[in-house]
Amino acid sequence: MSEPFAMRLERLAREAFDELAAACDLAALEAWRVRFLGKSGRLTEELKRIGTLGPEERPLAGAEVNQIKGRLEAALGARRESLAAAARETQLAAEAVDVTLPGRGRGLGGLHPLTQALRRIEDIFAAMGFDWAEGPEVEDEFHNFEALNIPAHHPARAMHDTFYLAEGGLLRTHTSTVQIRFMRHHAPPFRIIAPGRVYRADALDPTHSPVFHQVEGLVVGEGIHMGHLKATLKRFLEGFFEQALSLRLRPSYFPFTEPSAEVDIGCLLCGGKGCRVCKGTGYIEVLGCGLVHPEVLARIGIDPERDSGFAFGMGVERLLMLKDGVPDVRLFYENDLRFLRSLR
Amino acid sequence: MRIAKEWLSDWLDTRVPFEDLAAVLTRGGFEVEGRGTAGPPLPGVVVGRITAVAAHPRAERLRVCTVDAGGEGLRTVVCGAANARPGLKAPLALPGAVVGGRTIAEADLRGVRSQGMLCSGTELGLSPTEGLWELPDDAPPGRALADYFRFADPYVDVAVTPNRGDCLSIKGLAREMAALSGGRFRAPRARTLKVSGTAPHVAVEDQRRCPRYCARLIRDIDSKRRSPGWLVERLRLCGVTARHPVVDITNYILFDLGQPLHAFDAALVRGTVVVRRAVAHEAIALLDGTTRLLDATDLVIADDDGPLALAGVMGGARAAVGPATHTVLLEAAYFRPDTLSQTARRLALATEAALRFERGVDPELCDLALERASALIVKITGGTVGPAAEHSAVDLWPRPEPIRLRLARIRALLGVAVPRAQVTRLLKGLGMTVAASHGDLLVTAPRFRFDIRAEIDLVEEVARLAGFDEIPAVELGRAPGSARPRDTGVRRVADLLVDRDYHEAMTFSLVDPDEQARLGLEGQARLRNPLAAPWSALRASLVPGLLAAALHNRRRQQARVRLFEIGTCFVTGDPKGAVGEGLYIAGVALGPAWPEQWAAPRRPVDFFDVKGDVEALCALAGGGLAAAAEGAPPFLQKGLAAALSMHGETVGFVGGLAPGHRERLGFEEPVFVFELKAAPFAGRAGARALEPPRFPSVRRDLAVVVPAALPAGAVLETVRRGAGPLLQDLVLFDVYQGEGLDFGKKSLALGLTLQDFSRTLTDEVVEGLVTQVLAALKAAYGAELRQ
Repeated sequence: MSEPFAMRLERLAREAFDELAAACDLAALEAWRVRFLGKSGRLTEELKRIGTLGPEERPLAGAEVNQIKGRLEAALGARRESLAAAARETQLAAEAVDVTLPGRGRGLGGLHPLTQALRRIEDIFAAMGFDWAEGPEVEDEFHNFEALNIPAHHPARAMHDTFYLAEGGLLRTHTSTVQIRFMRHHAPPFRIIAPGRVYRADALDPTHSPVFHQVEGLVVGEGIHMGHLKATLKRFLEGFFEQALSLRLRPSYFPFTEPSAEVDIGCLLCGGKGCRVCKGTGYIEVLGCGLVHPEVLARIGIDPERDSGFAFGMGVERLLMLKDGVPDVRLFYENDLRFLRSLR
Repeated sequence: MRIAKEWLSDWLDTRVPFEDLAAVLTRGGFEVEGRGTAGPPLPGVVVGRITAVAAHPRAERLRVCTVDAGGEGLRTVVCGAANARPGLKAPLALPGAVVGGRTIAEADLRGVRSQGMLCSGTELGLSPTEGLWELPDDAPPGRALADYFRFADPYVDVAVTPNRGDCLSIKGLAREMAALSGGRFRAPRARTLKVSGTAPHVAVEDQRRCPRYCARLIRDIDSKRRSPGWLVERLRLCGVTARHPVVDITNYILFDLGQPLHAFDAALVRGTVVVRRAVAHEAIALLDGTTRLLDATDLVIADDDGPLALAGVMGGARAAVGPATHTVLLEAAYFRPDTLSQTARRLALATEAALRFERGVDPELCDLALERASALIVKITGGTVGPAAEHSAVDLWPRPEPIRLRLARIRALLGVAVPRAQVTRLLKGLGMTVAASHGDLLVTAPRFRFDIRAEIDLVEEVARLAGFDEIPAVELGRAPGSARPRDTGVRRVADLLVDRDYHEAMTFSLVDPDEQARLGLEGQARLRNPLAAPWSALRASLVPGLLAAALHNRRRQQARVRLFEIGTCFVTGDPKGAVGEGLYIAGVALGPAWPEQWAAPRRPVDFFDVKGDVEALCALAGGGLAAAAEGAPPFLQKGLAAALSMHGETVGFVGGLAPGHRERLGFEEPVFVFELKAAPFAGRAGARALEPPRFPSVRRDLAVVVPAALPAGAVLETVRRGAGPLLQDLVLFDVYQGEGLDFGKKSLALGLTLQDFSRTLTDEVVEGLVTQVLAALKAAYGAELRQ
């Protein structure tokens, strides 16, 4: 025998560990495995040689070969794992991005501030059980005036600078027209709001626009009175402005309501101390209201002795100007993107 | 109405300080719209009297005035005003005074030392005057101008609602304030004047429209006299410039008592004064310099030669009082409100007189007004007062009827009980008579309250006087029916477009008819009384407004504009001639397709971007959009525009604005627009749920070669029809033309997703279907599978 079996085995193991440490990728690792542990690998060859040893040496040699095989296999597993981990690391490093770069995509548009306000108004009233109604913008004298107690030569017509159409008809000056249209087809009790565009022949300036939006409200039923009107408006206005408000009802005049009132709220800017916005009065006018005039009810076939009701009307632009500090009504119709984005 | 403190004290005795009366008025329904003092303090500006005027030695336009400034001595003032003359009193700004932001100093004016400045009303920021402000004769030289005119006197401006014509005077407001504040109203006493001479000849032909007419002559007045300072100042507070004392007095009585008066130059009146209806096409030259054509509904004051005045609205030029007037015919009348407002409205004459008559003036007020005006005229201009001619049809006067007022009704409507004693006290405070009747109250309003006609009017008065603050707020409680929410479809459409990067716009519904015509929009409805030409038609489409809004932004450095609007459009063409209206959805897009960013390609928005947005909207409504190259509106570019339909119904269009319009409007890049009827999108009924299929679907991709000019839509339609109900989804994922294909051909790559809901599809079935589809394509277009 040239070299003793144990020594050769020892050298083989040393070589195997050295080569394993040098294998730096999975392919080298596989080659190593084939060279040492494969079917005709060197360790397998050594195992085959055990049969040539003397019977007294065999058990010891067998155990030694198996022990080395176990150590090599474990080392291979560990090496394989560490190489795979390194490969994963490399892969991940290659996929890494600059997370501070901006994301990709289209922009986000926005609803017009007036649409947002109208939705808000509709939602607050819907929560109070109000239905939603609408009517045409091109109206007739009957619905815009006569049915609302404003006969042809009534001085109150001067309060409504009306646009008339060459083709006949007029542009409604208020959404109160919807009161009439609704009541003709519905019997009390009911609660409705009617939002929409209205028109007045007013020159365009920071606080007036010939085209603007109103929301009309109407509640009719047995036992409806001024107290209900007060509570409803308070609830709405506090919801809209998102704060507790002091309300003031100031007697006024509308031909289709009686008693009529203008509703003031404590000035949002100065809290009632008096400032430029409230012209020193501490109050800001926000809407008009009143009990539906008995003649309006009677004319439409509702018995004013049985049913009573209240109505109110508000200018949406005005409410929004107060709420969001919009300084000029013209901004709503200019559609300047910089303005629209600011109230998105 | 402007209420000055000093003037109010003529009529009202109250312990409430003037500053607090504003709150009283507000609570009473008279909105305080403003407040201030009668005039600026004007330190250093005094009354000056010109004693002599000499030519300036070195300036043709200037004159050297010697001015008596009372305690400030005689001053030399260089002045360029044409009306500088000896005897004239005018404001004199002494050195140190500030006029129009400039401090006055002694100065040499072309060699003459000027010790102050004679001023016009305009320079002082008061009544605009031509030349020097000619002050009243009673102005004492040297007196501070602000003292003389009592400029420190505070005032409030109150809004009087149209139902309260009785409060369009200081007297009326004082009466109301007495009731509201507990003060004492100094009820006027008519002093009967001594009269001499004869009454004028007056005839009233239309008693129904003029149930009372009083007139008298005042002879031998001196028209050279001028109104005293207090009168000039009170008129100035009312926004009226003093002209002739008689005219000034009639104006003053209107504001003081609320009774419009009219004065004619009696020497210019021929024959009998007649109150009559106008004859159709009769003309009258009015005091405002216009000539108006009258019709038979108008009431005129006429003489033998024709109309002298438009009754209760405006006087005529023919018998106007002027500098030569020596005898005036003074008229006080009651005209029925309805006649008058008709005339005033038709002729657009919103005069102070018409304002009061159309709201109702107490017929009994004529007496007091006539006596007061006559006394003032005589006091200021001299002259003698003649007896009044009077025509009264008392039975045609408004007569207040007793109204039954139920206390239970007050409680039912106000939600709070008001005790009988309080109701009685409040109403009596307004001059009403209140009697008890079967447990209710019987209330009669004074004649001047034209607004009190029914029980509800009294309920309102009780609420107003008791105060709305006394009414407790009561929640409505549960809704009477089921609340019907607004159609959420419109909201969903808006939200979708917002998510797709559009900003919502709101544009005027009033548009320029010429612009609509240029775009070829037909059936425009027009305003009869527009404010301005660019707002004289109703929009027939949302597109013009959106284009204007896009342009506005484009001109303000906004490179990328995407706007939409949901709004009403109007068209004529209804057989009855009426204007129809409908809700539309429209959008405009220009500039880069994507917001500027590092990770997406930079390219301008194109047809398919916008069509994609429209398709998304249609998907909301259940899909089924079809596009056709024909039938798009003429303002879109041919070949880059499509007419859109859903289920056979035309719904709108999408496309690029034609280059001609683009250039005309000033757009520098392609602009894409779309417009859709809202109805198919707004009222969508609830969708039905689909259970996901339990069997796998099969996808087959086909590339077919067809003529290049063939619309892809036709191919897709043929595939859909050929494949039948198993076709679950169809996508077109590539279009190719060029190398490898014959000239004039294109290849369309189609992905078919097939699904049977009841079984797994077999290859046989799938192959059969594909063969079927290819056969249909071949038959229709000669289509071949791409090799």
